[in-house]
Amino acid sequence: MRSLNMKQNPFATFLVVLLFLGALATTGLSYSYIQKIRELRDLQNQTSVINRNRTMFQNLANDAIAYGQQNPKIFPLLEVVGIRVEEGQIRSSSTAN
Amino acid sequence: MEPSDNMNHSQDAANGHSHGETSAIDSLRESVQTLRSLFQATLVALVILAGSLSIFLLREVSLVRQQVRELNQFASTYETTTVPMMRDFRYKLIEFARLNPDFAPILSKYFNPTNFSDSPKVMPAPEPREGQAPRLPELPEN
Repeated sequence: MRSLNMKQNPFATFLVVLLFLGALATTGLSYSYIQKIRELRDLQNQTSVINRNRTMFQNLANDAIAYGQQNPKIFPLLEVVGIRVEEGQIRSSSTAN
Repeated sequence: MEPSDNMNHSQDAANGHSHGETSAIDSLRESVQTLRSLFQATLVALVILAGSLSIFLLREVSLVRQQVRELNQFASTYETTTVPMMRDFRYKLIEFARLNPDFAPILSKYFNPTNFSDSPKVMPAPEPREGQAPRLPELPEN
């Protein structure tokens, strides 16, 4: 006669232990995932600010180049951001990368 | 009625009763066995579900961690190389605007005019209105 007692069913016990471990792993990973997502969101906000600043500096450099048509004394300043202007030719290299 | 008839009758009843109990126990045993099989199947399904979820989360965490690493590197590069260059450029342009006032309106589009004007009567920069381009923020000093 087969016993009906669950204590004598090692397969079920093994499955319960496995399920418990899986639930623990899922909980830990979920927590880690949420933390990382928060960090990523903060960094994405920071990156958008950085990109906005870079775009505005690019626009400032372009305006400075345009102003240089009237006053070429500004051209040496543009070399700070990697813009070289030679003999009236405006050649923009990488600015504020 | 004879006494032997009575005894036979009660024996038959006892046999019938015993047969009914055995049948009920067998039925119960079968039910428990079915329930146990269902329980084990449910456990297997839950284990598979938990395992799949763990693998999915592990991959997502790995992906997000990689993105965080890349963005951190990007921000770090910006802080160490681009910000000093921008700050230097800004200071030079402010100095240039002091010497060449006609450049000041161009610069004031991007920076607060009080930062580079010698005039004490310069009004503070107005709050950016809707549709107006925001000015660059003050760059952090090292």
